[in-house]
Amino acid sequence: MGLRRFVIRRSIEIIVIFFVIMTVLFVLFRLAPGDPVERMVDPSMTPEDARLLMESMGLDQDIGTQYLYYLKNAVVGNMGVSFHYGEPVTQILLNRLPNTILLFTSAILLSAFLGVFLGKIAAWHHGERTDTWMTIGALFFHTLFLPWMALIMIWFFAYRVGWFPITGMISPADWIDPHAGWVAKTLDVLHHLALPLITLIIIHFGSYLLVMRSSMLDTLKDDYILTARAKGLEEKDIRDRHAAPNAALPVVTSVGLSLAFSINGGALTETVFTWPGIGRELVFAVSHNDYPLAQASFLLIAIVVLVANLVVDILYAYLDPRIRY
Amino acid sequence: MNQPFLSPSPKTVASEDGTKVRHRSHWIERLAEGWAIYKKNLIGRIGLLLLCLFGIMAATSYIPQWIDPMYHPMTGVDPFISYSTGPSFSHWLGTDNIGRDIFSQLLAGARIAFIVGISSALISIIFGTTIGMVAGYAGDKVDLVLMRLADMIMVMPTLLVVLILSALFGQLNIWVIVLMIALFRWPGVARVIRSQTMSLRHRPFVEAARVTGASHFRILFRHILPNVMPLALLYMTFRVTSAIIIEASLAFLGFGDPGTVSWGMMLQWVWKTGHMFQAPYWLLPPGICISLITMAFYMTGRAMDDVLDPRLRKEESKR
Amino acid sequence: MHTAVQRVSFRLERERSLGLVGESGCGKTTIGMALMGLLPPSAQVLSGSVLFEGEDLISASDARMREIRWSEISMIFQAAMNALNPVHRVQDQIAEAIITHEPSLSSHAVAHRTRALFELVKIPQSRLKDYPHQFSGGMRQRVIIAMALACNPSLIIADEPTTALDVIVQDQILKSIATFQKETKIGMIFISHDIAVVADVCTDIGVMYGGSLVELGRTEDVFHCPAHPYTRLLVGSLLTLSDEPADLSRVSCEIDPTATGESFVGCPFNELCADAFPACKKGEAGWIELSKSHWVRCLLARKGGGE
Repeated sequence: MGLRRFVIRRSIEIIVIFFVIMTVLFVLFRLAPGDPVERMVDPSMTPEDARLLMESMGLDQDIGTQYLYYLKNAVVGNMGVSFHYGEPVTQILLNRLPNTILLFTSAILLSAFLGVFLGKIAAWHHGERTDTWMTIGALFFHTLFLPWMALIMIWFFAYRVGWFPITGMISPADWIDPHAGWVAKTLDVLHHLALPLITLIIIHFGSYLLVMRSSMLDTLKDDYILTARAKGLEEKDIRDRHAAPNAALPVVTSVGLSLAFSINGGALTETVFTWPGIGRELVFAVSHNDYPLAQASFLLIAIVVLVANLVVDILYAYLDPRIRY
Repeated sequence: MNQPFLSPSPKTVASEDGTKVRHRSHWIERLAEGWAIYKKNLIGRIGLLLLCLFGIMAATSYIPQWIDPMYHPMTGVDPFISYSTGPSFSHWLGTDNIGRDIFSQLLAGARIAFIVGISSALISIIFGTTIGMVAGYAGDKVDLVLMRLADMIMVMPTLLVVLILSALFGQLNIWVIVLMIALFRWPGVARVIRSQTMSLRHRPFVEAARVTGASHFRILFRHILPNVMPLALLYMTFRVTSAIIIEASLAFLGFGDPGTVSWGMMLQWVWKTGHMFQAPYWLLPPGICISLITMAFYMTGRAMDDVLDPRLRKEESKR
Repeated sequence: MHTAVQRVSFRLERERSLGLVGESGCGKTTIGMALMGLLPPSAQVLSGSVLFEGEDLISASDARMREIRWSEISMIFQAAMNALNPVHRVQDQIAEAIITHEPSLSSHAVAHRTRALFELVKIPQSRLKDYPHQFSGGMRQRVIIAMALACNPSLIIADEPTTALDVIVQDQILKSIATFQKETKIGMIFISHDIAVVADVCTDIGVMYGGSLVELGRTEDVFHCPAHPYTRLLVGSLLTLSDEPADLSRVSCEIDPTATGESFVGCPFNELCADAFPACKKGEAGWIELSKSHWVRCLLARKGGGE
């Protein structure tokens, strides 16, 4: 089936791209000023530990072998030991990964749905006040500076009104309590998730609204809309069952194109809200010169972005019958 | 040179009696035409107005410290104030946590925003247009390779890439930041220029140039470039906004050039020094400025789009 | 403001089919749209009425029109049009029409009828679950025909149903249409620019030019004894194996939709007519009855011309 071949082809492309990224990083690592070895091995380690680490990473060999070690380690998951945490980097990041996935995925899904829903309505009321206000609103929110918006949100909703916690993903008290069931824990996480999630949605829904709106305006000119009307369908049904599904397809593409932008925003949001995700870990690692952690975070983020691209492509192929069959 | 059919601009106008053919290749005339259309667009007017406002801010950023050294955005401290205060007569927007004037910082930020935005956009446009033209003109393998490269770069989140680079290479200088941003934002332009080039490739005037033995280089730069230029300029406005935002985000995270005062840097200071809850006069202005300048460039770009779009369509239909 | 159509009146009886013939821009599609109440919002019906089984459709409410559409009057669109929604399966699109107008039917009954419709237009049952893009042009047109028949309408308006198809497929589709019309006895208005096709399929012919109906009558009468100069040119332009090629120089003229301002006076064909005389420019001919089943709007007829 066309779909399966498509998935396989895209997956291979993704792997190749990741491979290129890893190689480029490897090269840059060696090109940067300073001692590459020192960058991977914490000077404050004991000599035996340092030696073991160097051996496992092949840092005592020539550059060709180093490269092979590098690749092997990446696959195996041995990316060194974090200077700051003193633990294997892979472990730290895998711990953080679900948090980022949670925030990132829900943000994209919710802002896409919101954008599609509002864009549909805006296009349907094209030329009227509803449309004008929605377009202006979308534009306004789209141009807000994300970190600043985040700060404002915290200032207002967490500090002044006190509805939401200021930082973090969990309230330690709730989690340490042995009697706390998973419902309480889930609610706690949701409580912390709310503000960063809302911030991300506010910033991103605008572009999806605009794409959906212009896509709807194009779709409404299509002939099958006339057919639907001739069939005697109600306007609402024509809009929701005939126009919207066709108009929503370009939005999926738009999500894919703006994934890089979304990840930037995700990292910024995690940092400001102290949400323990891989974006925040990258920022933290870079500012603390924790090279192993920085490098691994970056690579992991790259994987996340590439996989997200793949998912979006597959979703589009699945939703558009012209590609699936 | 009076060989009309080699004119870079395919826009020719026949007069009523069909006997004369005028060539409007003079770009000033086209500019004037475009301006007439642009003027009517409300969004465009507002955008341009805002840009002028910021332009004035940027231009006047040198004035405060000339009046009194205590107004210098980086190094000037008020001899009497060494903590953050609210707006006052001598400090229109108040002072930051070590007594520097916020208003002059804001003006300096405008200057940086324009410098970073425009130079980064310029570099990525030059780069992207060249690659787009080459890819569209050469086709086949060259096109494939270049577009694959573009795809790979488009996937990467620019901010995080610059972040990892600063981890490796230390604190980055503002011009390195500008270059890095440009290097990661050219694919968008390249794609558009490429498709425009591909549609121009088969136009009569290009064929004519080829027949008379013009080199590829000459064709590209003398004939195709003038026609893709409007599109490139349009996309430049979008590049400016993303450059400003990325620089601001970098500065916000603490990875900007410590020698420059940008709006993102100001936000970093208010955040990191724990003043975000108490000092709205410090927190609000930089963020508002970033958002407004983004909106201004976007509006200008949209209005330009309206000007160019019908003309692009008209050009297409003339085939 | 521009008058697209004026001075059109005709009557269609059950089981008969009227072919509306004319070139692009003559207003025939506009009539089809007006009958179903599908004119774009910028269009208005200034005067006249559309009586469907006694009910005036022009003054009918939106809700009433929605009821009538498809269940009483349905349409077959041009094959070139993207008339089917690309993201829905064809069986769902047909079922949708049925369910909208007969909501009480069980899903089993709906499925049964959908299958029967496919059989009627001779499409294999296995194609029911396919998407529109998987069909060839001819088969897609059959799907559209099946969909038009879904609610057993009394009238079908077919707007250039075979125009975008190649001749062989065209022939098949026309035969299908002729067959189902005979079986179901539905009234039909067949809009086309091709008078040969119309003469083949329809019982009556109406010739339109410049927004007006200029000749109307039974196919035998209009086709074999065309009275209006324009009709004569149309019929004469058909090439047969034995005839001399006709003079085509005056048959076609692109009507500039923006040219006609308000309603025009006189005969619309006046400019191109070989036999025009001064009165044609000023006078409105009105319907002249040539026989019980043949009328024409032409001053020539009044003078006693025509064959």
